Amino acid sequence: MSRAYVPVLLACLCIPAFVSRVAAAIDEQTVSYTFNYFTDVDGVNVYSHFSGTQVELDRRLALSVQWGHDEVVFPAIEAAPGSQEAIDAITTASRPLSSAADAFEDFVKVRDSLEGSITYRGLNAGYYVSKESDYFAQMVTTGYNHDFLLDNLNVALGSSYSWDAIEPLADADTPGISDYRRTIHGNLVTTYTATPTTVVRAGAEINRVTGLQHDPYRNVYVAGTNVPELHPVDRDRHDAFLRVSQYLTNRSSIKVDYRYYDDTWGVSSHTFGGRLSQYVTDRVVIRYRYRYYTQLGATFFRDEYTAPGGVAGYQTGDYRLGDYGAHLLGGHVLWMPRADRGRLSFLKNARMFLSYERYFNSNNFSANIYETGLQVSF
Amino acid sequence: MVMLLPLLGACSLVKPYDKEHLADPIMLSEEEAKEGMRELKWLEAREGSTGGVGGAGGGCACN
Repeated sequence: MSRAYVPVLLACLCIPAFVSRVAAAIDEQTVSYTFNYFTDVDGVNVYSHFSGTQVELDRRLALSVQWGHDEVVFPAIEAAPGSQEAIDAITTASRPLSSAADAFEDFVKVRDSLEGSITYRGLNAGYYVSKESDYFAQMVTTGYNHDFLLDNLNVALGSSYSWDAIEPLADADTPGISDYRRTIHGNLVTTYTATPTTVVRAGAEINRVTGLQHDPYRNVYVAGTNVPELHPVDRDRHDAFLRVSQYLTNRSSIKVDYRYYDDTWGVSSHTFGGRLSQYVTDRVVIRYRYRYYTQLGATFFRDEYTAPGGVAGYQTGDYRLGDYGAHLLGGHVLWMPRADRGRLSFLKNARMFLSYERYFNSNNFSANIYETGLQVSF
Repeated sequence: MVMLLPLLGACSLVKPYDKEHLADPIMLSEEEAKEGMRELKWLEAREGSTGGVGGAGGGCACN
């Protein structure tokens, strides 16, 4: 037998033994699947599948694996070939176009991701990897949380480091140079049980991002000519949030939250949100949601760049870096079936949901988001 | 925020047997946190101050 097969043979012998020992010690296992469909006014459709499993062992150790698959479909340009509208759309496209003919066909992009984490008492660690045709991302995470004041106060600290490799696809009007992005993240979150019906959560995050942060396929009109989009390579991002959850006497709850954000590009934002959940039967909950978002744009963002060199050497065609506001409205139905006995007893801890959300902003952008999912605990 | 934590000890503490309502599914935040992570994937490509924590993937060509 070749030596190359020895590790494989050992793995084949050891893994079933490990799995059987783990299976014997499992306290609870949860499996879930969610399908999300996003469609926007520009004709972009995103089909996302998420599935995962979590295993609790001895109530101290938990293992979790999550898998994701996204398919993004960008529609072909509808303007007549050769028209000024088609030329503008091709020039400012945020997707790769290796030839003019590509613009008149749908472009499909696929992203697969896998995430694993382990939690032991208050400690946790994880690894995330995702792959797209032009982007490979990896991240390690770690955290610790501890309860104080008779479990009425929880303090959690978290951090992550991600390192991404960017390999732009062939594009006729941009250079397509390989690049990278690194992100260091830290957060502190406290959760306080203020009364038997009130929970208050507050937290803050910092992120330091370095590397490529613009779209490598997009061009911007600057002083009458097309130049590749260019953003600064460093960005320090900070945010803080506060959330209050209140249980109401008629078997409902209300949750309100606020988030403030700013960064070194000059972007700042305020986000206000609210959720109202209400039991309509013992096993069905309806939730309504509203979110309002408003932001001030980056210092180098302009609707039009009239001078060569953009602003301080940077130019962007990304509306996300301008001033605007956005609204999100949604409804969510959760069903927790009663099946304590019989063949369907495995559904006694199941949850199924269906939700719809409508997003629209002051840039005439709007989108519909549909989601459905199932979670079963054994 | 951390400096305010000792002050919380002066408040009357909620006893474990008084936390029944807090364990109700409509008060738990774990599922909403998972929803938030899924939402982040499309919201990150639509808003300038959302996401950025790394790991979500490229977003190139997604906006």
